[in-house]
Amino acid sequence: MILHEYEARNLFLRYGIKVEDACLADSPDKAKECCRNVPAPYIVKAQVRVWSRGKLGLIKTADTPREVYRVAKDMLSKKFKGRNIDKILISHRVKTKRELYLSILLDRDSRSYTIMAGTLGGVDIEDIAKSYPESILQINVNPLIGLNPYVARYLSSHLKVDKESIWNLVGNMYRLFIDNYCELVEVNPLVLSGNELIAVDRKIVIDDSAARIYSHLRGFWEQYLEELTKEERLSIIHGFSYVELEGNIGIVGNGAGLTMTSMDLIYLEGGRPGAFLDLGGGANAERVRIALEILMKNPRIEIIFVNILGGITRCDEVARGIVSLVSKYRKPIVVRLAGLRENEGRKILENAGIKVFSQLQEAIREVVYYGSTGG
Amino acid sequence: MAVLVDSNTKVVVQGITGREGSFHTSEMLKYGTNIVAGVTPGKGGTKVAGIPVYNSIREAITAHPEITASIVFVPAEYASDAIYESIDEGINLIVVVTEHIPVHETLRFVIYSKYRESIIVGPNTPGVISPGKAKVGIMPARYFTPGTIGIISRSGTLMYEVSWQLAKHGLGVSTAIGLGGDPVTGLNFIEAMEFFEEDDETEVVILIGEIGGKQEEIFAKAYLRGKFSKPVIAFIAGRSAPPGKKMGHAGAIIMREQGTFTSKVKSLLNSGILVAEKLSDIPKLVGKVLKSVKM
Repeated sequence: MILHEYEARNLFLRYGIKVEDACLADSPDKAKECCRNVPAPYIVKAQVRVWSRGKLGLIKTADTPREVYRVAKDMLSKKFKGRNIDKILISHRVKTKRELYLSILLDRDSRSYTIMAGTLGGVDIEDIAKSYPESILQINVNPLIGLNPYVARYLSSHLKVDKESIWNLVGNMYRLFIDNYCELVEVNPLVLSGNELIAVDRKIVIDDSAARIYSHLRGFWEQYLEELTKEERLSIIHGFSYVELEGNIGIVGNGAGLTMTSMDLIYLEGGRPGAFLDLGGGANAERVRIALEILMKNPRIEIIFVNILGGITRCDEVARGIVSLVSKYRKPIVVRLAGLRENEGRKILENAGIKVFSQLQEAIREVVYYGSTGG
Repeated sequence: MAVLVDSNTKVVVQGITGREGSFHTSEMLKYGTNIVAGVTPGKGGTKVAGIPVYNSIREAITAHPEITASIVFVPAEYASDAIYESIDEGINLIVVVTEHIPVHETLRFVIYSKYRESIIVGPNTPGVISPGKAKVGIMPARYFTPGTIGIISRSGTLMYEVSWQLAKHGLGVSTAIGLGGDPVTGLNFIEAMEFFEEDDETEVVILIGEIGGKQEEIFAKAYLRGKFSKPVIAFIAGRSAPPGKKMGHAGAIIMREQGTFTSKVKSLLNSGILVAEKLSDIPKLVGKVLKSVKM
């Protein structure tokens, strides 16, 4: 889960990290009012969970409260990915000597944390890494050991900033990173204003698995769930992984690998996958029914492929669930089902006119044929 | 032979009294797995499927000093604690079935386990099966037949699917290891392959990978350097998946353009590893490799 920038800002404040003056607004009037407490000039930022807001036109500058009002009005009337933009952050535009970059992330492949420091901040760090790789310093941190003081010496000499200030900053960021189960804590830009380091814009990604179970993260998690569509929320609550794609074939499977492979095979045969839904573990009848209903309600999906390779899944129960939905939504469905009481399940489906396959490849061909003829 | 588990493996089930734990204990027993004890704090003195339950790993080991492996069904909130308990009590092999363990916690117990020389499989793994001998996991036994092919897979159901397709062609499995679907896991491809390399029974290994992370690329590099002598056949899921950007730009820098389907297939092919385009090509490729091994 990507935190909203204002949520990240609050966390930074709580961990004693210096941030710019800012104020959260949900209306143009509130935005103008914000300007009483935040000194000009301004930067107005849409609060949406996405990377590269600048490139998407979701960050604008303004010099006066009047301009803030105008920008706010425009931004708050827009939609992003189907959702209204309902919050904006009015920040003071900090006067700066230099803009830097600093992040801590969890590196799955090296089984460690990585600190990344860049001398050229405020811009797309990925582009910078390509054009000026020497501007970025990486330091690995062993999760069982934590930060050693040499890290401050390295950062200080690379970023050309005071050792004590950077040690304070990186220490606070590290505590924030650990306490809140972050996958990423990023400051871009980190601004050097006078002799002070100010974290002017920031990104935090929190591990969903931790947010699910730990009460100190519950506030973030509930806010996140609230912003999802009903289908997305259902998926998360039931532990599905649901991705919408461009085509007309909906795919339901148990296990990410098998579901992805079904999608790959459809694509190789010339079909167009339109949604991917991995049920995760435990493909019981109820979960299959809820998942199918999500796809049945998706208007872009014209045909559904169900691929369940179960051990303990009761195929007869799954079959009954499928039959009840097919009569309700009238979308064609192709099933590949293996597990307990497989023959009973097959009979129930076939009696309802649904094609059932035990071989994956044959099932895929049938789905692609249906998909290309419009069902 | 076989690797990691066989009929001599003596297993303790952590979280044995839960729904999943008790169900899969019966399933494993049916398969012939040598389960000797279960642990659930506070439920000591009871029995599940005829297996005695203890309050702690220490009590279980005191009563059954022959225990060599643990399988963990403990819910995510308490799983790390259960895993540390097993590591500290000296259990060699710990199979973690639990899903949704926070990745920071996994990272820490995985690093710790290396230092204490315990092997962790998972989290979020179907486990390990040596067909005909034992299964320490939740995989449906019906898809696995004994043979000489090793399987290392990040995906559970894809591991079942591949083994089933092999069985239909009269080909069987020495051991199948599910590495687990989480971003950080105990065993990785290289470490799992080291076991198969030493195993007399295994002639060829199938590596089942998927997009994300760069473990397939790291494996390919090691293979290219000549770290392993046994033939490997790979399959990568996710060729049609849209690119994700979970960790944003910083994540992309760490990845150095690896982790995609194309990058994985390219580095595997470069290392002399056969890559199956479709699942159904795997048995054919295995047949070909086995023929050349025997000549």
